[in-house]
Amino acid sequence: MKQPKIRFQDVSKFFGDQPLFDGFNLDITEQEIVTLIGPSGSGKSTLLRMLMTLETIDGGEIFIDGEPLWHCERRSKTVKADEKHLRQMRAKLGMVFQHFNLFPHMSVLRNIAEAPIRVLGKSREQAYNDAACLLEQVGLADKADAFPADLSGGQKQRVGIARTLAMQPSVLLLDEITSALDPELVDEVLDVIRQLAATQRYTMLLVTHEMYFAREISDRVCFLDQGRIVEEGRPEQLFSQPQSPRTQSFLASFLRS
Amino acid sequence: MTFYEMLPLLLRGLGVTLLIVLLALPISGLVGFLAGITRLYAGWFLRSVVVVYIEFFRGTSVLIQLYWIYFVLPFLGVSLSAVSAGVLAIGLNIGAYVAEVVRGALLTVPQGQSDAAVALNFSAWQRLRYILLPQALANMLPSLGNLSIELLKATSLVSLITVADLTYQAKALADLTLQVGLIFGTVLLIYFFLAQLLAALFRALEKRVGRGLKRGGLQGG
Ligand SMILES: Nc1ncnc2c1ncn2[C@@H]1O[C@H](COP(=O)(O)OP(=O)(O)OP(=O)(O)O)[C@@H](O)[C@H]1O
Ligand SMILES: [Mg+2]
Repeated sequence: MKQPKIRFQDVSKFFGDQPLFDGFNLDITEQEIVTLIGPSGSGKSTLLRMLMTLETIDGGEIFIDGEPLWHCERRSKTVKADEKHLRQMRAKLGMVFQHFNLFPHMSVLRNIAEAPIRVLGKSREQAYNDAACLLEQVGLADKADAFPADLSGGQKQRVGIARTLAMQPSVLLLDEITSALDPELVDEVLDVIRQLAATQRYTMLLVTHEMYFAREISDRVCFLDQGRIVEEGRPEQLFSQPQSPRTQSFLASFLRS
Repeated sequence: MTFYEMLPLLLRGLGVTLLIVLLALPISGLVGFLAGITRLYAGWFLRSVVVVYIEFFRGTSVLIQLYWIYFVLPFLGVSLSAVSAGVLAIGLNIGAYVAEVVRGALLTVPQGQSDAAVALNFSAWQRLRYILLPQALANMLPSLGNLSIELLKATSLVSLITVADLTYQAKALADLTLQVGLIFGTVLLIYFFLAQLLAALFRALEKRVGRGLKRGGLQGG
């Protein structure tokens, strides 16, 4: 079998002495689109953040393309990952955040071009050109010189997506990217993701409460509860015929609301 | 002695005061930024060193610090000129306060900013330099402006270790001529004017730095 793009292997994570994850396993295939659903506090964000190296892990290992994320070889010894190794691994990952986290002191175009210039070493001209293309792709060509505060939530999030794409990651992590938006702005953001899923070859791991969207876009849906995958499967199967009572009651609570 | 005869001496004193301010200001800024950043991000050893520095210099009197550097350090083999001792003592003292301002301002930048910078693969230095500090700077400038005035006022203490600054000259002239009202009145106005100058300088800086941020709003991300 082909090696997974991402593998969580026996991962554990503690907050204080409270284990959130204990022996957690999950494989994601290259170009697979996996959606995590689950109640608040079940660990969805933490899972994405451990992969993005925003949270450390307390045991086990995460592999990207077969390479360990949190350990590396130095002088033929396996040691805790240093900043250099982490930066090599982060190059494959991109993350879009619930609250956008745009840089308020930079124009929209700078927000997108800054990392390609500083991190990838692109020329200014090249980076600004590419940023302009991405802005066009997310339908905001006319907002290049605006500042984040001048944008609506939906526009901010589309800039957030463009900023992430500018770093050319192969894995996209999307953590409730429409949860902070007014309902009428949700679709303009999801449309961008739909288009990415249809035309580009990203591996995607996403968290969402938009069940219709999860159903439509995912190759696989995982129901997470208290740091465990209770049930997973193809979306049509998991949404129509959930096996576990936990999943059933979770989905039922969504239908009610 | 007429006022015009006193003026050259006062101006010479003013020159010395300005020299000390111009040397101590960058020292306090440099030390303060380094210490503030170290206290936030360095490993436990450097962090403890910095905490000791900050608490020591904030917790004891500038005058005693000045006496230590000028009178006691020579016994330990470090002899400094009076001006150098003054610059160092005042720079380090105000630097300790600057460190706390810098640290506090960096802490006000939302966690999400640093998260986004990590996710975009900026190095630790780049995150600080291009993402966190520019946002923190707008927050810290008002306090830094106040500290620059504190620094200016503290320089008058160097007159007590024989540095012929504005205060020293004023005191000498007053002893000589007994025209205390005129002399100390003049000196008071000069210090006041210098303080206004510093305040205006920092307000201008604030405006410059704030321009992008105001439009952006601090939580606008
Ligand atoms: N930095 C932290 N310190 C302490 N506890 C934390 C921290 N981050 C997360 N937790 C705890 O870990 C658990 C999982 O949090 P997480 O944010 O991953 O949940 P989630 O599934 O994303 O929930 P939501 O749907 O509300 O976003 C929660 O109980 C939370 O309180
Ligand atoms: Mg979450």
